[in-house]
Amino acid sequence: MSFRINSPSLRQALINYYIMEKRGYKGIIGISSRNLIFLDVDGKDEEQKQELISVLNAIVKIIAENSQYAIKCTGKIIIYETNGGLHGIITIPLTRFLWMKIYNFLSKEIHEGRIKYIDVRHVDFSIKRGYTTLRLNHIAKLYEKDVEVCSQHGE
Amino acid sequence: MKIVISFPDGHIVDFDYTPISGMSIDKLIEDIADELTERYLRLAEFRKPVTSETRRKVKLGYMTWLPAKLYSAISEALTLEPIAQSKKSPQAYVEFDNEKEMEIIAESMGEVKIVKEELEKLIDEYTPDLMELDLIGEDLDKYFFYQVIGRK
Repeated sequence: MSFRINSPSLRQALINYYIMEKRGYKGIIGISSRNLIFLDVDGKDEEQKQELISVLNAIVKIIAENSQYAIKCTGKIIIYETNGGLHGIITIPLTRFLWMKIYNFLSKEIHEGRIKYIDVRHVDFSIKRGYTTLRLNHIAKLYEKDVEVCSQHGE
Repeated sequence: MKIVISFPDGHIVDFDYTPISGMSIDKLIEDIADELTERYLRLAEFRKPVTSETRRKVKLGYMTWLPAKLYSAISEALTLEPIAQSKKSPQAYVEFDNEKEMEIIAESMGEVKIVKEELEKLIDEYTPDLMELDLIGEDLDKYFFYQVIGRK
């Protein structure tokens, strides 16, 4: 039996985790967001890393073209390395409209084979569930770049 | 914490309850049964004065199903998977207002003794890491929620 327990705060999630562990369940903590983009690649080689960076940059371009739907104008592209592979995040919170626009773009690119390594199931699940999750076990920062999305519109 | 009891006839009763550190789960059940009894007796408008025997019998009626329902509702609120409750009998729901209440109730259930030092250690392990990874801090953390993902 698998389960997901949502909590609004990290502390509360850790209490849940603690209780579940004491009761004999195996679990990990994940961080989820309806407003931020997380991407997942099941591998860690240079080609996969470069594809992830290029996709994240393409997403920043989409955000910049629709910056009125971004909640903040500045943020970072960050790539994390975990046991399971690479995870990319853009720390600009987005409205649901823009979030869906990006996922539709990703879904199309993946299904048409222009994106090879980004996990299709992760994107599909994200669309289905309405949020994306980054698992927090054995995580380390690998790459970081500042981004600005409002300059095109002079905001 | 909020406790809601929903009866099959559509009647809903809710309570705001403040658990006290070190209390047992039996105390919570007793308190809720007493409160349900009082509310019932007020609503029922007995012609004769209510005797202690009437009060005892009414409370006994609640105590036949209330403990099991509250255990289920608390277990569910304390992170376990949703527990199916029969729609033909009263249903109970529990919501915690804060983490402190959650800790008190988890401990009062007797199953899990939360050792403060262990919990603080866990919090110390995660929080600095997340800050260092730029995943919390500034106003970014308000766009997140956290999940425990697991299996039996």
